[in-house]
Amino acid sequence: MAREISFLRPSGLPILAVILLLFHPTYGSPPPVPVGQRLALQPVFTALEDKKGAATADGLIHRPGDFTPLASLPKGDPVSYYWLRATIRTGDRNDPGKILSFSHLTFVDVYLYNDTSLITHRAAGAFQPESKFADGDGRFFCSLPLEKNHAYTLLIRVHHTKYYQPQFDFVLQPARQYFAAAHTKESIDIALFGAICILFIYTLLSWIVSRFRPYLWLLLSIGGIGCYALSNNGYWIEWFAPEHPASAWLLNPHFLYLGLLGLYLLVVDFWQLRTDFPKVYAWMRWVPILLVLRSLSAFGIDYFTGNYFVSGLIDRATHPFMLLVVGYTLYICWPRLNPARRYLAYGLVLLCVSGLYLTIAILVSKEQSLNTVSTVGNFFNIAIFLIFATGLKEEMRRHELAKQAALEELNRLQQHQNTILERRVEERTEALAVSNRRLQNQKYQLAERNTKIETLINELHHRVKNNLQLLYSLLSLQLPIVKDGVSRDILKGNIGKIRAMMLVNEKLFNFEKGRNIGLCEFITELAVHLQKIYDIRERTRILQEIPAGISLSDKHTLSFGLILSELFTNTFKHAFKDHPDPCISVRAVQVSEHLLEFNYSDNGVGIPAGGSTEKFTMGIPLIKDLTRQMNGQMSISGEKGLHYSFTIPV
Amino acid sequence: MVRILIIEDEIIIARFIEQQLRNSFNCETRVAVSRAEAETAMAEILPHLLLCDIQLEAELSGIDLVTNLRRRYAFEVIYITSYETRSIIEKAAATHPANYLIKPIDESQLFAGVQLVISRLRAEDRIGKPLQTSILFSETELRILRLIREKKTTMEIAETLHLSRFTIKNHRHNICRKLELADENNALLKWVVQNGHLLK
Repeated sequence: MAREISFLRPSGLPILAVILLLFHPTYGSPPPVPVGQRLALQPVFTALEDKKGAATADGLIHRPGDFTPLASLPKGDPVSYYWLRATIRTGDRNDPGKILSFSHLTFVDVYLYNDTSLITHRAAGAFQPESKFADGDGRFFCSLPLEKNHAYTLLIRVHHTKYYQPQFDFVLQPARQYFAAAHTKESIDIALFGAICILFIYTLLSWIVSRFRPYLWLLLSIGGIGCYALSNNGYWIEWFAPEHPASAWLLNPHFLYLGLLGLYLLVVDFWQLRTDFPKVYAWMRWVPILLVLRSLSAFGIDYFTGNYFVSGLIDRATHPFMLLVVGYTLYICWPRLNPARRYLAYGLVLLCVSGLYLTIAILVSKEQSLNTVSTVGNFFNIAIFLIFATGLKEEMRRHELAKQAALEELNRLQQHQNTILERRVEERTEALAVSNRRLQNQKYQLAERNTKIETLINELHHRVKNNLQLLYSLLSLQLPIVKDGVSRDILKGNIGKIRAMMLVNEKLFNFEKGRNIGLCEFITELAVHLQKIYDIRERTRILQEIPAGISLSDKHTLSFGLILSELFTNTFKHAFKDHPDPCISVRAVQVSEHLLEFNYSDNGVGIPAGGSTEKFTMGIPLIKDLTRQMNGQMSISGEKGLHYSFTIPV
Repeated sequence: MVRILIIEDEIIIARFIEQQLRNSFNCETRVAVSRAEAETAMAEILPHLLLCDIQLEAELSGIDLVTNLRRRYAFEVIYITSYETRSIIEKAAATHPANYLIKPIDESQLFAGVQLVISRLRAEDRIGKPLQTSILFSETELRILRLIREKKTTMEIAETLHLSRFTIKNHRHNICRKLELADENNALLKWVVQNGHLLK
């Protein structure tokens, strides 16, 4: 993860300068140098270290003796003011413009003298506010108004505040040549940053569409490292803070840390270190802490001391740990990674390689890093992110495939379920139909049976009535034949009882729903009928005192009917021999809810003293038996006619 | 003389049967028209033979009544009923009746049905008495019953008689079977409480 391109600067082609430097001997006292094509000034400079920064250009122009050749100048304080002096001579060709350029110094003042008179003073430098630049000048170059066939003295004051040893790689070259090189560089930058932008947008869109979180981390990483590259190449300062370059430069390393944090999150999330590799994760957790510490320390040092050299050293000191963590992670995780996740590993390896390459390149070429290093770094970046993006895409594709497979499986299951369900519904429907048919059959059978039962009941009723009628008719037919009085009486009694049964039967049939028989009506009918048999002249008065509401339950009705028939029969037969005003009185009172009191009395002879009690022996035991059957009580008294008193449960 | 109890809720029919029996056999008869009357009559005359209608007071209570009486008295029973359905006959058969006569019946049918039983009755000694536990139960069963009367649990009885708990349970089961009781604790206990006097 060692990413050290922070000291790469846009400039001309310093390699050439280095090569040229090898071919140029060092001069003791400077003769005017002819200016034609490209000229590296480092070999021809004489220099002076001004620790306090008190010297002025006008003072120094008259004291060329204070300067010593640059090569023999002892290594001094890196933040001292350095004065450089060179004498140049233009040729006889009129050049449209000469450009003085350098790769990376924070403050540069260029004084151009013709003999001892100041022609122009130009300011440049990485931390110089843009407003100090002359028209057509830039941060790392200025144009010198040189005329043909003149000798000039160039006095340059350099103040490098970044605590790196300043590199005085000044180059004088024709404007066309300089701008052509700068243009080439810019074109390459535009292409590379365009690519990074497209990658950024692509990742952003991918995240929006898929909401796959690793895309977010990749986005953070691309953004951070992209901004870092922008900043390194000076565009950040140019675009956002041309007046405060030193402040803007403070942000430079933090972009990198942001990018690395994004990368860390990407690895942790995408490989699911937390759950799949807890051991690795325990180590990896130090990475963000380290990043924050690095970020804080770098900012503190840069802000308060401006000592970029020290902060750079500290930063580099953490690289071995970072490399170790990455190596360990790769070593542990690799065997258990699926192909999609391995893309990330490839990317990480490439990242390490590029980091190593850049670190070595920086160590070799110091702060004045090669222009190519930046470009190569950008290439690496793009390649790495492409690999990452491919890995993520592959993972997405696998997800998609797995999802598709799962969906198909689900679909298949659902179809299976549906088939089962349908079959079950069919079976149920069939079963229902069968049971329905059975129910229907049962219904028909029930209806049929109902009809049959009804017919049977009607038939039964008919038979019962008919049989009773037959008995009644038979006995009635026999009545005239029987001459014997006792037999006639018995026969009449039986006819009366059959009549009572017929009545009960008739009432039961008519009042089937209520199953109760109105006492009043029943007594009246029975009395009228019996009177017809025994009391043909209808002399007897029958008094009834029976409340209309009283009724008997059907199970008692027959017994009661027989009792009544016996009572009437007895009275008609025995009570009223030549009685002037025969009268029968019947009373019923509902004593309580379940108890009925029934009184029967006549005003006949009563029980005669002695003699004819046998006449009663026939009827009274029967009455007693029937009362017992009804679970009732009875009493008889014989004064002034017979009085029967019954209590019957209803 | 044979003692006969007629249980019939139509008293006229009961009187008819009574008259026929008296005419045909040398017997003592009694009529009961309800369950309550039947219970009283049982205790009073200890009949040898019951003529019982199945439908008493509009229910099938005749069979229940006989089942109940069987636990306390030794007697033979003849059902006289108008029911001819198979299920009712089967249910009645479970009380081991001596005969089953279907209404309407006339004198000769009644005579034949009762004669059959009365001729057999003479040989049987235990009939016409309260249930004799000494004949019905073994000595061990009687001891167990007496212990039950003293409100002893099965465990306690087992301890007293030095028998296993399961043996006692087995005996209890047999007792219940002989008394035609449902095989459960309460039924037997109830019977013992009601008929404790029989366990001399």
